[in-house]
Amino acid sequence: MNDTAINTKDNNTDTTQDLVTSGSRSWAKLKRNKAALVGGLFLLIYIGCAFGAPLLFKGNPSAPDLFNSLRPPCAEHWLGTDELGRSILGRILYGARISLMIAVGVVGVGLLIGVPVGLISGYYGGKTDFVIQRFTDMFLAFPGFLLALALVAILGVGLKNTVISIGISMIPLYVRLVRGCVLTVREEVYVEAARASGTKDHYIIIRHILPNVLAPITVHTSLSMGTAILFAAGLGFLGIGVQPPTPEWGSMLGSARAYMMGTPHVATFPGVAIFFAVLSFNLLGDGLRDAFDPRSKI
Amino acid sequence: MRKNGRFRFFRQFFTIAVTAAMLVFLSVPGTFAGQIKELKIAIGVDADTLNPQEQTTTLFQNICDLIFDGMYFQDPQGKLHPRLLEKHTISDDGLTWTLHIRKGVKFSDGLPLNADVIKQTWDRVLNPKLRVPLRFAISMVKGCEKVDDHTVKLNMKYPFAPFDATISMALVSPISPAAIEKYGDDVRQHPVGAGPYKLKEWVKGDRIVLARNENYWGKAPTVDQLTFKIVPEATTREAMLRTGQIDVCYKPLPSNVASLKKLSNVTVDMPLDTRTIFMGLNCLKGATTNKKVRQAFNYAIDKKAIVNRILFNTAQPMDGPVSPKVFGYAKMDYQYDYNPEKAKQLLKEAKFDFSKTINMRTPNGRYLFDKQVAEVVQAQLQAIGVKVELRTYDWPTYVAGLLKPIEETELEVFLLGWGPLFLDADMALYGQFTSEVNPPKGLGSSFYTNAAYDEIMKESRKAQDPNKRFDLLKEASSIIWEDCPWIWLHVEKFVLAYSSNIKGMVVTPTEKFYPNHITME
Repeated sequence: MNDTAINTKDNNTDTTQDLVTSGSRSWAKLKRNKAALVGGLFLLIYIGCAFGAPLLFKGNPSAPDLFNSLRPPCAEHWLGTDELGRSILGRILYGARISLMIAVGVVGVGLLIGVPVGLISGYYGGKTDFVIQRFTDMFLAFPGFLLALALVAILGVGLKNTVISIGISMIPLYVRLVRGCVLTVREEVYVEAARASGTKDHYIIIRHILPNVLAPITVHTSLSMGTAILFAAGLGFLGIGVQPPTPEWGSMLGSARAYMMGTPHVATFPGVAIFFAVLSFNLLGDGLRDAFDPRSKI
Repeated sequence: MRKNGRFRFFRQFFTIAVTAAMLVFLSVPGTFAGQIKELKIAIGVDADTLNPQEQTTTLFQNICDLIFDGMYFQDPQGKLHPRLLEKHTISDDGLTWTLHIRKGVKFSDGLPLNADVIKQTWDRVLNPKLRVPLRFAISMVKGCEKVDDHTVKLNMKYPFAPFDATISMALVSPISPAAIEKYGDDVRQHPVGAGPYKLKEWVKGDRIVLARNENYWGKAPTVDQLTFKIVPEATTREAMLRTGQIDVCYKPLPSNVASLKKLSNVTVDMPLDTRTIFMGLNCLKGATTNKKVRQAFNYAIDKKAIVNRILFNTAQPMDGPVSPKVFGYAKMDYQYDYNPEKAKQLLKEAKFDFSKTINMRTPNGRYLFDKQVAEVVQAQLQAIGVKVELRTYDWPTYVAGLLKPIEETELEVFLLGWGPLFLDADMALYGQFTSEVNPPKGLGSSFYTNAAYDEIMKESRKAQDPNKRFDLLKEASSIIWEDCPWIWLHVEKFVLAYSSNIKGMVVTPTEKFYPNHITME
């Protein structure tokens, strides 16, 4: 009995060591992927804007100044002003905070609920797996955005409800992904050994299985953040997301639509901001996927 | 010689061909010089119903007018012109209206329009089993009796002076009895009326096509076919007008009106509308029960700036509680011009609780730049120290919120529009401010309650003398203007852009247009 326990411990140490080795190999691969680096750079700029918004822009981004409305880019307002005379630069910088907050919140909801449910579903299998997967199928039957839209209609508008709605729409994807990975990992010898040695299920799930499914979760999280920003912008565009006068990129774009003909800059800059934020997460996510994939050679 | 002979042959052939072509052209019935084959009109949405009794949207009431014709036609100046009715007479007590129906009128299916049809129309409109959303507008009618083949009598519950204008609405336009019998409720898809046009084709989500009604009793329209093309995006409609794909663009974006006006091939008509846009203030509950607070809110808002900068002058600041286009309008003696200092002073006098957050709500996209207007109002109230939280709602949820009784209502400050369907102040002053219309009975969502005001408005409905009625409406306006159940914002303009070669388009303040007798250069 004792021998088995020692063996399991050794095995565990090996696994950790393997993880460290594969981690550094992945990091080396990621560094060689130029697209991922560009994505990372955009992401750093984006996060910098989100955190540094009050330093980069003095003043209230929500306070209207009607006599300066729809001004083109100039020295005073680098990206011009919107229909209420508010600086578009200021609103994009503060909007970065909102988008980042939504992205983090959404993947937070997805991770906190989706990952444990996926782990349980994959690890225990049987009836538990069947019930969880049928629920997941039900949610997956709806396109993600439609599901988020329906949930907003039920929960009501606002930042918190936007995060919850999009977050819930992300859960089934996490559940399905994690379950798939767990199904492979749970058959590994070290898991079998741990189980044979009487290690408790929750310990096995947390210590042996979770670390081995972290790579796909990381990739999916990065890609989900981009999707979350896009979904939130979509809800904002339709006027049922974050409420005015909060500077949210999607609602900025939605309001600007009416001014496209005469003053296209009002719609262009929020659109560009959404584009680069989503692009940064997608490039980085793609890079991470390649880096974690043992078959890829970059 | 041979050459001359061939020349003569060609000359004769050419002469005969031209003469034959002219004869063919002139023999086609109804086609004569100045006649326009088709007018293409781009609109934003498709019709839900073309049953005039069911219709609530001005654009489709407009189309109903073209298919059914009205009892009267109210012109842009408010003057009534006889249509299906020749005239009416009123009893001394104002409780009996006798309607004299025009003789020789036929529906487009050939059936005659007579007293039986008019009685059937009134019976249908008053029948609670049928869906008639605007029934409240004729709720003063008790019933209809046939007098002779071309006369009917309406018995009223109470005297209602502007009733003649009321019956100019499509709401009481008669539908062919044969169509009702044939289609039942589905007559909304197969409208048959006695108007200048008849429905030729309705392709859901794409187009509604009207063709000239050959049985029309009146002056024949100059346009043979009206094609209403459904183009949801306003910018696309504008682009289609610019490129000549359509002739008329319904409601282009206010932000593009200035650039459209600059085009030599486009005419932009924008008469002042009857619709007023306002911020309702709850007079019975919450922070705005004090009159001084409501007045302060009025002084805090720069309405002129809103009109100039947000609405691109496609509106006009309100200077009385109703649109200048309606009978009973009077410019008020004093105005709530932008004065934040005075607003702060009034709040101080009212001992306003600045720690409380006021809930403001607005629909998004129902009225011209409604969300943007609400954002400015929010910011300007915040500028005088009032904490305001703004929420936007989709239209059905928003309307449901407006109809809750005082015990349940969450309304504090809310953006809304109110557009009388005919050119009279009664629908605004009675329909919004008398205690009788407080929700859930009506849409007076400000819960304004003033017995003296109610009395004046009731008196105005009885007054047959227009001068006396005007004085009463003015008195009511003065009371309401001082009490401020609304933040008086602006009166919208109805914008219609069309090809500059179209002349004679009739555009009304009730957001309708009539291309029946246009000419094209």
